[in-house]
Amino acid sequence: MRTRENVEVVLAVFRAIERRDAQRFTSLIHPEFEIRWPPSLPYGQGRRTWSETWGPLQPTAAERQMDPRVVAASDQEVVVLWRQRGRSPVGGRFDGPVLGLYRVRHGKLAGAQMFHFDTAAVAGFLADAERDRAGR
Amino acid sequence: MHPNARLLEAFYQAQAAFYAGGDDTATLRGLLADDVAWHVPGRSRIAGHYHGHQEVLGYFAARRAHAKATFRVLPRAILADDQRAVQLADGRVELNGQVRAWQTVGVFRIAEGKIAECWLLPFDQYLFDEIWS
Repeated sequence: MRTRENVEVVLAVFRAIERRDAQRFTSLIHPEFEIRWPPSLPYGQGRRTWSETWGPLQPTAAERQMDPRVVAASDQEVVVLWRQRGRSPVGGRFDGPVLGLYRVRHGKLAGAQMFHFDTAAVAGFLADAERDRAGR
Repeated sequence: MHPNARLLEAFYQAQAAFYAGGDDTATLRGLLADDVAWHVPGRSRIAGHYHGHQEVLGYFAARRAHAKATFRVLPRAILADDQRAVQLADGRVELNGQVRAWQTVGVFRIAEGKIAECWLLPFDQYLFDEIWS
């Protein structure tokens, strides 16, 4: 059943990201993979990547944990509720939900679009973290 | 089609008629649980948490009034299981002679064949706030 396979692919992608397993991640991604982040966030769309942005803010497994929960799935798409976590250089913490819409094609993740419950809170945390880093 | 997907289709048809200026709130009420809750994020004039028929229908009416009945929801896809449904949709409104458009996801909790809760998630929160402020 393709729906179940799609869910397994997407959850495997989450595991690879949490473990920082780049090889596994690459093996699950379609060659034409495209991801869309809200334009108000400082990553994606040709700018720095999510990994470059959040990597330094996730020093331990606790921040890398995404707790993915499948909300709905079809033979083409999977919707997952996950948590974006981070810790700023001075110890400020962020922990907020994100709804990801994932498109799977031929057993590979082909596309993703992220919907945040509070985009302004994410942007604010990242701006504060950037200031903390610059002030160090 | 899953029954909850059909429920959402019926809801969006009734809501579209209401947003276009219709006055049939009975159909909308019939699709919403008595203790329905609606969560709208952001900092716009429509952001907030609405509970019960009166507040949720008041929220719909506020959007209709702000958009002067030009607000349209253009559904893209519905994914549903026994407890939840997810609606992908584009929104469009005409304000001051200018057409503004955005994308949202509606996450619905379904209970006993009615919409019990909705979380509305705009793709671009800042754009959504600007349009609805």
